Amino acid sequence: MRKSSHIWTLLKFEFQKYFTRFNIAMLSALLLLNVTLTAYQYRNMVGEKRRSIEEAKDALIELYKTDREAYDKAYSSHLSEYEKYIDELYYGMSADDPGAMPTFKNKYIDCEGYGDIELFSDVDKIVKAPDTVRGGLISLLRDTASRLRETEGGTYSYRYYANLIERYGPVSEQNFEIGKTSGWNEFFSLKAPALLLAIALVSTLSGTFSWEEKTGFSCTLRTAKNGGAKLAAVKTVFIILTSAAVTVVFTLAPLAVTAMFCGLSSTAQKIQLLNGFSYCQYALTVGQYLLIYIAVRVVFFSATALLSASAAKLFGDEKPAFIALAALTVSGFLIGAIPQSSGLYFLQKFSVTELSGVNILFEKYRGLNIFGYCVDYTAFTITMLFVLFAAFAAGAIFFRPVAPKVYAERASALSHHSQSLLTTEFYKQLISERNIYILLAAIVVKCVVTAVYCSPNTGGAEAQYIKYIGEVSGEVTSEKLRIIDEEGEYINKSLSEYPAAEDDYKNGRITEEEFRRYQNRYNYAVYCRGAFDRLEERKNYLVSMSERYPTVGFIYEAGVEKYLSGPVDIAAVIAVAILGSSVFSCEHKHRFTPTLRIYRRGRRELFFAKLLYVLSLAAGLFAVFSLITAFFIRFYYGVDYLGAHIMSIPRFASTGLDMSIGEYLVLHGAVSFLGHILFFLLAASLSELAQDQIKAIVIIVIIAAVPYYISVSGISGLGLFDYVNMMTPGDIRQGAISYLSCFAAAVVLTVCAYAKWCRERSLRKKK
Amino acid sequence: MKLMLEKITKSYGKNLALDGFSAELGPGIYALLGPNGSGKSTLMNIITDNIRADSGTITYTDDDGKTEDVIKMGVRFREKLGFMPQYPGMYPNFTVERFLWYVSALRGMERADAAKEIEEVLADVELSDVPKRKIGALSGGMRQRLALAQAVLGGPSILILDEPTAGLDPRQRILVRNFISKIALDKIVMIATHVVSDIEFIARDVIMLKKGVIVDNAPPHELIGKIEGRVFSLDIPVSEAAEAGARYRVTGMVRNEEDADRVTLRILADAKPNGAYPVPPTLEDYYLYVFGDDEVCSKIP
Repeated sequence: MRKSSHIWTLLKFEFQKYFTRFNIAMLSALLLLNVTLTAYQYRNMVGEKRRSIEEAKDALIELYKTDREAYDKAYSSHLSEYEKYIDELYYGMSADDPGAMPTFKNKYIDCEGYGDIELFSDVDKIVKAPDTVRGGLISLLRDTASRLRETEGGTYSYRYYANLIERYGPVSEQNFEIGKTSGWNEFFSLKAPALLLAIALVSTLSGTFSWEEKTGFSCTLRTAKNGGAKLAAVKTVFIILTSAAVTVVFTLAPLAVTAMFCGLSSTAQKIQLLNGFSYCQYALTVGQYLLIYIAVRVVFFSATALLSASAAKLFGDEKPAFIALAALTVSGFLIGAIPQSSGLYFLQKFSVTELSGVNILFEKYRGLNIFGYCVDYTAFTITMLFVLFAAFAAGAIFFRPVAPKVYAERASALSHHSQSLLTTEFYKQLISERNIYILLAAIVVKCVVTAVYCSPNTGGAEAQYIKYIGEVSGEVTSEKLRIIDEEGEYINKSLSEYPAAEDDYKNGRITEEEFRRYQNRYNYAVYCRGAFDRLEERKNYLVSMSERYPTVGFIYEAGVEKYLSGPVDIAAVIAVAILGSSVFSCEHKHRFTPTLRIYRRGRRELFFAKLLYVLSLAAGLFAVFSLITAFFIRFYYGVDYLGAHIMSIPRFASTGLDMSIGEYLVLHGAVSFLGHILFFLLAASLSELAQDQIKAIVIIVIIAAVPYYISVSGISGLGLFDYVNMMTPGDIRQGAISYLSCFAAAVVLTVCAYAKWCRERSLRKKK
Repeated sequence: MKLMLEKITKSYGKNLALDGFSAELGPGIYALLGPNGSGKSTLMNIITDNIRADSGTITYTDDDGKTEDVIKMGVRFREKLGFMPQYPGMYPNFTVERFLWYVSALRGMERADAAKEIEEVLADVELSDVPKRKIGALSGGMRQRLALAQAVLGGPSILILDEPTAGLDPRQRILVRNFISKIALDKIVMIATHVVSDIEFIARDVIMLKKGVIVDNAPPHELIGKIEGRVFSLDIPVSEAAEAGARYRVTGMVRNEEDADRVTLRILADAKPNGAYPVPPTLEDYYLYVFGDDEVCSKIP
């Protein structure tokens, strides 16, 4: 048998091994979800109205191309009608007795929310796009040339400007055709659920090496002639081929949906005509960019799959792969939250969430300052991706699992250990199964994420606003209103007097010292204007509320706003998914279940001990995470107004709630606490029903991600089983149905898990 | 004390794993002998309520003569059980002693009793010097002995042991055999094995199981008696060994110590071959006589 046929045979077996029914079903479900969510985002693109709009646009664009004179005439006519309409509108609004407001008479299209004004605006953008793009590029080149002349040679800046000119020169000389760019803008700006793709790949492929370690077959494999490095290489090829295929399918599926809903314009158009790509530094067509887009995604996600498989191989378990995926997701979030003013903002160029979307590499030319040299960011990043790809592939082939250490034991008498099922359960789950590391990592992530998220806005206007609030904090009184009014008058006077004072100074009517006084007051007014406007707005709001809620007051509620508007507590979600999925699956993993079920306390009592463990850990996790959040909120904002009425905060204006802020936070905390408990129960139940931790984690992540993703996509009427939002609730009044569904699902699954654990189970059929 | 199994039947799809298994078990050791796939593990899992039989009943009669269905007894029956499965699973990061303490908690033992029994059982299975070693670091034989230890902890009156000596060296097998023999005086012990020598001298009854059906059930000496006069020793040249192997059921072959060109064959046959002389049969001979050839099964009286 030839060597190549060996490799092909081994490869075939890898496909048979890992494309199990579960994996195929899971990939199909994730793909369907991908397609459904994409289709939902285009829900407004179908229908008669949409078709009419596109036909109208096409007609005008065609007119522009074929009979420019006729188009110009139509456009001029429209403009003059539009000017007349604006005049009438202005007159109507400013008159004492406005009468009926004027309406614009549409000639070309008359749909609800879309008429001639919108039509000509859109068409104008399309027909002028080539000139706009070229104009922008030429302007950029001109500015760059000017800066280059003023910059010292041999520096990073000089090289950067020189590179800009070198790259954008040819790009600006391209011929840009007029035409719609339908479909491509939408497709490339899709917030494609890269997370779904990553979950699909990590779930399917992370066990490529570790599964055989866990079954104990790997030591036999390594003794086989083709079982060592050759098999590892075949497995690596399998991972690459599978991740490439899955990435292509997950990328082209939304493209097909886009084509169906929006239509796709010519792939021969220049990429610079697409939104966000006006300054793309390469002379590419849309079609060429599509190929590059897919290729970069394939490399990126193949590297992700290889990383997960290598990590699982090193540790003999897939859990590190999921932790690595979670860490990358969290890092993407953290980097995305870095403000532009921060010195670390450049890290956004290396955010995995941005890189998975590819566009960041081709939006515009970016340079990296490496030892004073200007290195092309796109070329550098793609090279690094390949390097990482190769490194992870090498790791997948050459990593050996870490062998467990055997320590020489000291001779000693028998120790007595606890006979509490609950205590032993804690030991088993956290120490024996090493889940304590997950918990500690989650706490660290929570601290970092919370610190970044809660860090305050340090701008001058914010500081002034805080000062203002500090001066009038507390319930609304006439004295405070007078202070505010006086401040307002002072500011207005300072602003209004300055021009005249400046004129007087120029003409010598006032001295320099006097002018400085006017100037200082003016500067103060300018500095405080923004903050004062906010204060005045708050004052007006509180005055309007004080009639019904007399105890409302001035508070600086940024801390509470941060708390209530917080993002998904991803650290908690991931911790619960991993810890919960281990509760019952560890018994099946160690094959101790048949013996366990014999013991007097091995069924019901043990089940309830595990349940108590779950409840305790969920409560503990909630408590620790809440403390962390409270610490940072207090550290940054010093929340001392919990007794103030909830209506002091404008976001609650329409709620009609009549309680203090502290009381609301207690309710909020109660919902969040319940969310933690229910999600943990769900995870633990699934660990018994799936009897495998990885399967349970995948199902848990899908249950958590899907409703959350649907809710942030704006789908109304759903929101069932949204555990993620229940753990970090927004407006708790609006989530009642979701909370009930979460409760029902958790209870039902817990009962099912109880029934399964305590009753019979079938042995697997022997084939 | 008595355990009655009546017409236990279990199928996995079209595969009939147990077909009307019936037995009455009193105190003593019962060996379940049979090849792989004969239904031994299925029967043990049914007795231990890990799976439910398709039909049939299992009843337990206590020392007062009260008889109850074990399913209805539920936890009261499981209290009396000690189970060592064929592939015992344990927690690799638990130490030996912590694991046994956990088992004692699961059995609901009193703390003082647990302390005493753990020490005793560790001594019985020769694991006293490694109480603090992690289970994952134990050798295969040590893990097997620990699995036996957890089965007997708490003094259950019914022990179900599936291949208890698998992976043990000869000395350890004797140790385990003697240990089981010692504790079985007032217990019902069912041992599933296909290592005949493990139970030959300790079993009260041997139940021969093939494809879910009992093909024989008697004390060892009775089974051996059935092939009295059917086991022979034949000394032949090496060159004739292949032909003899094709003609007779050869259960053993040993090179002649004095003449390297000759071998001594141990043969199972209904009639004495030429040149052969009868030798005392063993239980292993009977096992091979029953399971070695399907046609032979029909010859059992």
